[in-house]
Amino acid sequence: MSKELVIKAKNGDIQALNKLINNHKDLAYSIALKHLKNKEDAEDVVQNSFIIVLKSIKSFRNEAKFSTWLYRIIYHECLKELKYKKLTVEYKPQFFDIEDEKIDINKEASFKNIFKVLKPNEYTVISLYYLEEKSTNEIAQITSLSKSNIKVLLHRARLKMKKAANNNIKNEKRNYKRDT
Amino acid sequence: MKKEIIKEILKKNLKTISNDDFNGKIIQQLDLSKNNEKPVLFGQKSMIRVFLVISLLILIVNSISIGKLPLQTLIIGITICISPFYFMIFNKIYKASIQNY
Repeated sequence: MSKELVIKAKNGDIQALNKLINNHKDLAYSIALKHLKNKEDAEDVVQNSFIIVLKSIKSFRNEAKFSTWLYRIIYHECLKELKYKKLTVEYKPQFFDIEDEKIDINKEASFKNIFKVLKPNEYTVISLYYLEEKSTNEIAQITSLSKSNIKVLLHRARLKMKKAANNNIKNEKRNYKRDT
Repeated sequence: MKKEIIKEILKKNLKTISNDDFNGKIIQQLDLSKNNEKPVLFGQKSMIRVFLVISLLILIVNSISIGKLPLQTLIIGITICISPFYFMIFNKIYKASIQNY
């Protein structure tokens, strides 16, 4: 399917190009936004990256290769933009009690602001790993980080997400007790 | 946390682009870049091919008409003949370097 899509896009099929863009634009934008913290800049970076990659789509055999290269360009364009603007990514560490409470996926509040605790790099790695199902090898290719570094980032991101979710549940319980 | 849960949370929290014409702008840029390419009578590839064929023909005709060519002349001739290959190799290396970016 992804192979067909790339072949169609290579031949200039606008529908296929649209589908290819739609398949990746949300994650690409989320990653760029996490890095740049500005909607306009993130949109520009994603748009430019798509143009760069689609211009040389003829050298890709399937969507997996295409997406790996796309995310690599997006990631490095974000870093370039940050360097250019001399922005420093502010990160305020948050400390939570580690409690292994059961997490309910249906409780929206449990996951409110869960990604705010993640650093841009951690968010990039975890979203590529779970949403795009990229291997640590591919993520290493995308980010130019070492494989062991990717594994550390993944572990840290999972831990932070768990702590954030537990903290939200704790707050919910506290609020519920206060109300009753 | 389970894999499915993390995947679900990540999916739910993806940010969406507000610009409705996002895809259109990208596709428009792609078409514009194609239109910017001016048509030429001879492309780079065809020029290299023609050069290769002509130089090979000259080498063959020379070797037939003159008879045995001195080794030095032959080496110089072959080096000139294969020189367009260098451009092809440079192009391949350049393409590979773009992909590795």
